[in-house]
Amino acid sequence: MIYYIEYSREQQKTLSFKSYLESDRLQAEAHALKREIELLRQNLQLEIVLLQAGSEATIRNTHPRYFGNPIGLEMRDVWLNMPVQSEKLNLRLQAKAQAKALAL
Amino acid sequence: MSDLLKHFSNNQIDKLGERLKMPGLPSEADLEMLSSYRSSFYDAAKEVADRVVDLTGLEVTTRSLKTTMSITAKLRRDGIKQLSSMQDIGGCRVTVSDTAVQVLLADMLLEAFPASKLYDRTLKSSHGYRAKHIVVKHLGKRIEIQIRTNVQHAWALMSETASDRLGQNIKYGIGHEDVLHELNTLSRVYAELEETGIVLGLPFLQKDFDEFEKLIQKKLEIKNDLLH
Repeated sequence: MIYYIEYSREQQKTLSFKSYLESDRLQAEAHALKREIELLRQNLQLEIVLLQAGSEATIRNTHPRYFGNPIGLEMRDVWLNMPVQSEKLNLRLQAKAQAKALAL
Repeated sequence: MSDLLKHFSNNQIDKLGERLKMPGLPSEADLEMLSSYRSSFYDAAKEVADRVVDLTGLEVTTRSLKTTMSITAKLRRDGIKQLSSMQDIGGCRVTVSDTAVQVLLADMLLEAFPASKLYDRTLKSSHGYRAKHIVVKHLGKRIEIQIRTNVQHAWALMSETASDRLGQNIKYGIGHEDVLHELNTLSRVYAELEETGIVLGLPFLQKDFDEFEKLIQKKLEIKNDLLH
């Protein structure tokens, strides 16, 4: 999915959040450009962001400031409980440790 | 042809960069050109991110659009001569549990993408920011992969929070001295703890978050008192 975000640094707040299918990427980019031009005409400064991820949960982990105060109580559990280990990596770590042990 | 699909030469992109460096707001034509240029990174960034997911089994976020604000600020701040040489127009971010996994993943990516370069900010932090960044060349584009441990990510979030509330220069080591001092101290403490192999847990970070939040609130109250 592609996620479109309008974020106000001044207010530390996301003002608009929309999701698009990846097949609609050009539509998302066109919308982002249209909004950038509108904001320019109004002399307003907002962050216009497009992020792509498998799920909204992933961007809540990697880019939590768009969903609230990242170090505030309400956001901590969201991103600190995100999986940061995987079976694939564990197996590679074990193989690396074994190779190191054999080399000694 | 849609404006978003236009292609430009490096020379045209570098001239765009020169115009963006100028004070003031960009023109509509330049915003359109920048949008088109950013769009040209999508396929390469997506393929790199898919490869990272395939290699690691972890979730990855791809930044499909580096913000105009960030690009303009970076051109002005870092004195980048050529927009076409900016290395993080397209990129992705992944967080991992600890430094052992971070080193493993960096090695895996350097092997998977032979034309790649490691920028190791765990060895030398950038204003306290620590992470491993790998810039890979794929489909003729430079794509930046940010690999952060959970603790490095936590620190980056504290820095971003302070920057959003007290001014973007905090991220670049300019601004409230006591906030910068706290960020630098935490960065050093986390680096030392990570070197020992200790995996820091949520309770440890929560205490730091609470104290840092209080410090930012105090600064905001002083700022508001001065304004009114």
